[in-house]
Amino acid sequence: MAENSTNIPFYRDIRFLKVFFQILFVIGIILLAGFLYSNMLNGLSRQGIKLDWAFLKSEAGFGISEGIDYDPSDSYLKAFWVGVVNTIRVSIVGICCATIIGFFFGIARLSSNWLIQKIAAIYVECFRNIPLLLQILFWAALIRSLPKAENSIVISDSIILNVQGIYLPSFEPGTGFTTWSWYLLGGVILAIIVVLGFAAFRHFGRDHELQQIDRPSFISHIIFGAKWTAAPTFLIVAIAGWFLTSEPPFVTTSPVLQRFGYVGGMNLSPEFSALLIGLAVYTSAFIAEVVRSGIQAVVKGQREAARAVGLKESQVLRLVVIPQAIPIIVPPLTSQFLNLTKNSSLAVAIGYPELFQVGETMMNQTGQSIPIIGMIMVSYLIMSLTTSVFMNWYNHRITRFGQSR
Amino acid sequence: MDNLAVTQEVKPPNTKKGPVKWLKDNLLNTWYNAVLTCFALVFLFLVFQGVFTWVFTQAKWQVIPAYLQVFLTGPYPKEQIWQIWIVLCTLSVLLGLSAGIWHGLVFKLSIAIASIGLISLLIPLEIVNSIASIDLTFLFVPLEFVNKKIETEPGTLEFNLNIIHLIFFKRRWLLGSLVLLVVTFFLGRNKHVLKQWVIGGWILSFPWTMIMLHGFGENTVSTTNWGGLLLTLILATVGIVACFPLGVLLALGRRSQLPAIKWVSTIYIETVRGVPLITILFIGNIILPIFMPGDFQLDKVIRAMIGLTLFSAAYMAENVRGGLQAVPQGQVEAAQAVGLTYPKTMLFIVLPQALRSVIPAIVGQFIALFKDTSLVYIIPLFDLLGATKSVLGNPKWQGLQAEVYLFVAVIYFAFTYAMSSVSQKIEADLGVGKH
Repeated sequence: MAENSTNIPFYRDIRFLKVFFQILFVIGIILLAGFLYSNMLNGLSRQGIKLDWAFLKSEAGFGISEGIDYDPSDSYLKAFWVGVVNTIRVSIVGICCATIIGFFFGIARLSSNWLIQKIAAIYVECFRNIPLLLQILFWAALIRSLPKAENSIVISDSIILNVQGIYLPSFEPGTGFTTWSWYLLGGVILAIIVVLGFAAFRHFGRDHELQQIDRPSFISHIIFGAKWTAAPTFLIVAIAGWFLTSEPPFVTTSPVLQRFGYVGGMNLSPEFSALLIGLAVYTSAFIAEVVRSGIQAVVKGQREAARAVGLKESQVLRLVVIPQAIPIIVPPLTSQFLNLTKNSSLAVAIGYPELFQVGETMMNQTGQSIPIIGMIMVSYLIMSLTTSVFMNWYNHRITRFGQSR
Repeated sequence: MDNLAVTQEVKPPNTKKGPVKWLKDNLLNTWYNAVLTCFALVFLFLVFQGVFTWVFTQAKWQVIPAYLQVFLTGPYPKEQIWQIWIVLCTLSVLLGLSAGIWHGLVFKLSIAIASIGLISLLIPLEIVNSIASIDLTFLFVPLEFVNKKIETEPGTLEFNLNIIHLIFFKRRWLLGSLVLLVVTFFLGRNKHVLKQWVIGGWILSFPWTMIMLHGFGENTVSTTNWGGLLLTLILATVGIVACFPLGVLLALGRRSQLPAIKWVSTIYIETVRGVPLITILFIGNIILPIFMPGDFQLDKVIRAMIGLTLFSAAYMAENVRGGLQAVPQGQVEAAQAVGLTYPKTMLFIVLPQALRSVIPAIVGQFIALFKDTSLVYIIPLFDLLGATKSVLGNPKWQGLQAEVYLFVAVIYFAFTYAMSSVSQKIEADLGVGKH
């Protein structure tokens, strides 16, 4: 028998075949890459382009309509950075809006009220099934067809819609801000003293007769205290400080109509508004589905058991359903956030200067399409990676305590 | 027996049904629900009032019939439209046969398609009258005919003759497709012998479609002239058909025990999933030509197809991988125990179970792909969304963005909604999720 096993010809030996196929595969990949590389060199030389990174330092020479401080005389690298910041800006605001709207409609779909349930269902089905690009173009066209600044649509005296975008009142630190921030600092110090004192009192003062094993650690006292003593202390000091400061710590500036349109407040440009509305509405429809299925995935028996032990309906939700639904909701929610960030690249169709749009302009100007596409891809990969690392950390944190899901 | 006699007769619980009961249960069961209902009603009233006023009094829908052909086929030359009709006739034959043989879902689907065809066949002539100044070549109605129609009054002999003329001559292709659909349905009824032929027909219909659309000799229509809904459907079909096997291979690769294959698949999947589709389309459009040998250049439409397929395959791979993970290890071990090789194990044991459990996710991916085809607008190609550009670019129709975009949105919605309801039917038929 032993002889037989050694007599397997090498071309039927699984150990050999495994290695052989992998080597074959790698050689194939390398050959393909080499072929493409030589083609690339040929192609580039035909187009008369030399691959290098030097262009990043040269003057960009094109304007960017919004974003952080930038001048056409700045370098291409700076222009690209402006695009990155704009992408992050629209993504973060979009994620916040989409989450709020999405949770609202997701919960509305589970309402016991038939009408509310149907309205939410129609909202979700409509916005989920229509391409995002079409929606963004639609919102952009809608904003462009808004009236001129003289006859803007004014909602409750502070929100103003006109062809130049959306104007909102802004909150800015006022004259009393420095005084108030001293109060805040004092509040933080006081809160730390209080929580340490509280933890020391709990840890050393009582329960001496308890077994060593049963005694909670000092850290857990601090965590408990942070919630029940430190946070209230800080809040009380902060609120007291607000009233004790003679000048207002914050001022609201409302947009005011002047000769060339509204001035002051916060202006969202038409492109930004259209992109934001499109992204938020489209993603919120998906988030609503995630939330609905997450809540429905909590086993029915859990609710019934919670009701059986006499919890109120609000307690059933807060203490039983939601803690079990959140771990189900978080992973798909993460991928929706990532989708929103990636979808912000559709801004190129309406001219909001984000990462991709700036990159495209750079490609047209320099012809260095390969390095620029590489930079764009790496930027998106970094953003995706950061978001998923953060959400994985959050997911890990909330599922830590004996959750099996 | 005594006990039984003594027990009192218990009335069944009150299961009275009726509109009042339904209202009480669903809209007014608590005080806050009653308040919510009132708010919702007011909200709905305002929304419907606004929408209806706009749709029926303010919107200028004339732009839609005027550009119907652009929306449906883009810049496809008018003289060659018969090539599209031949494709549609072929597909009707296949659909009719399939509906006859398989019944069920295919039958319902063809009923839906046939009724849409019938409705467009019988579009009321009044509408045609009111938009007389408009080019309706898509329906094969020449201008002079439409102009003549204004003078004819409904009910007269001439009017009826005109209807007959319109349906039986000017819309002969549409009528022909419908007749073929119905006839082949009755021909194929319960002829199970034809099964293999029909499946073969469906497979062959794909190259046939491409050849017919492209034409040959003096009837050649270059792909740059493909557009509208036609291009959207072609891109989506090619993407769906091509990304599926690629995705399965990538998923198997990612779960492979051979490190080289595993890592290459993983890096590919994660890279593609980490970047937006538009970058992949740009790579296909701008960078792929640089990587092509010599003067060999791929067609722009084909480059878009490659981009969509490569992008979609990565997502498909993740869906399939989810299904693969759900197949118990014992299945693989059992297959190995009876001596199946790796390809056979995968093909006959693992994949059927894996794919069955992820049908909803896969169809969801197909729907996403269908919506994503709209991104070729940016490259630019003139798909359904791209067609709006050429319509809105006409100064005669300026300021009609809302009408045009809504019309296109309705078409997209009809397709995606149909796809998702078909997926729900398949799920129900296979009993996914009921174990």
